[in-house]
Amino acid sequence: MKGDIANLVLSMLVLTLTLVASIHLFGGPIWWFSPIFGVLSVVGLYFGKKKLVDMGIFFLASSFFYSFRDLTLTYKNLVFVLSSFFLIISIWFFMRRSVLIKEMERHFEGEKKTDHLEAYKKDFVPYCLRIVIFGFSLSLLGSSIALLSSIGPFPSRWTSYLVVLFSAVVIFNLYIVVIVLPKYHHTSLDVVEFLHGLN
Amino acid sequence: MKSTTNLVLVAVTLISLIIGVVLDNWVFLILSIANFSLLAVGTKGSVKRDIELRVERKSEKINVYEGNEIWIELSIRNEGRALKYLEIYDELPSGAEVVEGSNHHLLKIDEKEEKTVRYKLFCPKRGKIEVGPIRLRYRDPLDLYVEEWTSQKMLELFVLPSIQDLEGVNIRPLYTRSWIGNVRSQNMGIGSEFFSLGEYSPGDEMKKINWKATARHQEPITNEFVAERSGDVIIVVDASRQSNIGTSETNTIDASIEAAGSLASSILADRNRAGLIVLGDYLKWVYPDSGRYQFYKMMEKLSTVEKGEVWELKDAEWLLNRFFPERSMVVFISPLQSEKITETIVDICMREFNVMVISPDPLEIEKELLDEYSSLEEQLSQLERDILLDRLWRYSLVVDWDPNEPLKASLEEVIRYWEKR
Repeated sequence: MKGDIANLVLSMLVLTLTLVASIHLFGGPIWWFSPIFGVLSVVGLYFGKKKLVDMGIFFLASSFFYSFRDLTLTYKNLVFVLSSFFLIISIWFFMRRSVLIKEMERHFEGEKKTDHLEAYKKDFVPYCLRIVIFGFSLSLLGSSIALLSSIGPFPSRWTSYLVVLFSAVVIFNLYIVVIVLPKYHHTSLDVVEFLHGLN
Repeated sequence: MKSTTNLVLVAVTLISLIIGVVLDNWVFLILSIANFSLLAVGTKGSVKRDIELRVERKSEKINVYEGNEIWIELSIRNEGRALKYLEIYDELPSGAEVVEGSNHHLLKIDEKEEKTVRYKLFCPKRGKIEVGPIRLRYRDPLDLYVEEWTSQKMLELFVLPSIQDLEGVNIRPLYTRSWIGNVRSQNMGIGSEFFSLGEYSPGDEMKKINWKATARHQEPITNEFVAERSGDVIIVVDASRQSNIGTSETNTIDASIEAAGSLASSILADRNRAGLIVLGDYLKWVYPDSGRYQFYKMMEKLSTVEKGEVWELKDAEWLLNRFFPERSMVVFISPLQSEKITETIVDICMREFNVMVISPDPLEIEKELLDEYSSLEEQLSQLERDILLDRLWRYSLVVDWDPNEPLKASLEEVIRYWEKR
């Protein structure tokens, strides 16, 4: 029952994104792109087909961001783009979770089934939130650096290259810190421990 | 590391970067940064660099009788870091059926922890089942990172054919060897049955002295016993294609194999040596020997018999003459559908082999399987079979066995008749 409600909520979210993208693209040559892939991902969710979900979400996200390609570069729009991205990513993770649970239910039988499923369900939400929040913070930081290093919309192609390169280097450095840190702490990635480590 | 998700994220990062640069569009450039940070965070949070697992099977070879169930056990020891979602899948061939537990487990295993997983396998039909390899998969909750291993630890599971109880049936080889057994020989020696009185000779055991006879004769007299020796019995199973009558569930080859296994058990229990020749898909043989190990050796050969069309009874005759001890008892188990069977059996008898033929009746199997059976056809087939059996009776003992009935009854009847004669 819980699973059904979760699937329904996920489907509604996907269809809302589809609708938003379609409205934005309506009248253009590829306005039908997002409805097709949105529906495909929902079908994949209900039939437990991971590849269909992946493909549907990828193309839905592509069409969604394509529909917002003409936004001007402001902090507000930056946060909007990043939030939308991580919202789509979260939906994707939850859809995969739903498919994985279905897969587990098919494979594992006996008294162990409930324990492992419960453990998985319990672990998933904090893990997913941690990844999304941390990813969002990192990308916001990287993008802000990118924004600060250029004035307004990127004036030239070379500046764009440099901005992306600079952001990548910054994120790469952060990544190295994240790898190095747990070696001293012997813990898996945790935001609190990570911050403690930085201090 | 094997993760399509990670590859997708890398591809998306690159594609959005390229689109952003080509279209000079900040949205796609920002997306490439977001993708990259997600990839960095997601991958880091899940990668286990020091995964070290040891997987062992409780045993590498198991024998089980068909129709029985058996527990298969695997132990997993984690020498590395704790793993939360470790999948273990023990691959099974088709036909093997899990009746309790599962061959697919999801475990949470801590550092230095050892866990055992077990499942019960039902073995419906004789044969050799190869269980394994063991596949292990670790993945993080988001399925961003997947690592798979395969452990080539296999389990050889011999599903032995079922056997019937032949206790009390005296299958006695006509010729005996010098070693002790249960078959009464023509000589005096070690045994339990009284033969005669004899003079005491130095070295005789005290318990052999017959004190009453000693008192009567005024000199030491001892009891002499009938020597109980053992003989060699070679079981020849005809599993040629023309001898296979019936369906895959009920057929003469399975009946012959069941009879061979039952006879092997009975012969070896009587301390005889038993050997085996199987004419099936391959020509298989086991040289005569005694003991429990020999029994399992023979049963393992029997468990993997498939019908074949290359080998004939003539080949068994050649094998008997070349490699097997002379003056052995040969038990042919065949539905007698092969050509020139009488000639072969006569040839073997001529070489001082003591022959017994056990023939699972194919007509009984056919009758069981067919709803309508023409009485004329049945009578003709029965007549042909009776003529063949009569001809064989001149040279050997012949057991006409209805596979739907216990073998013991048919065997006892024939042996009783033979002993009276």
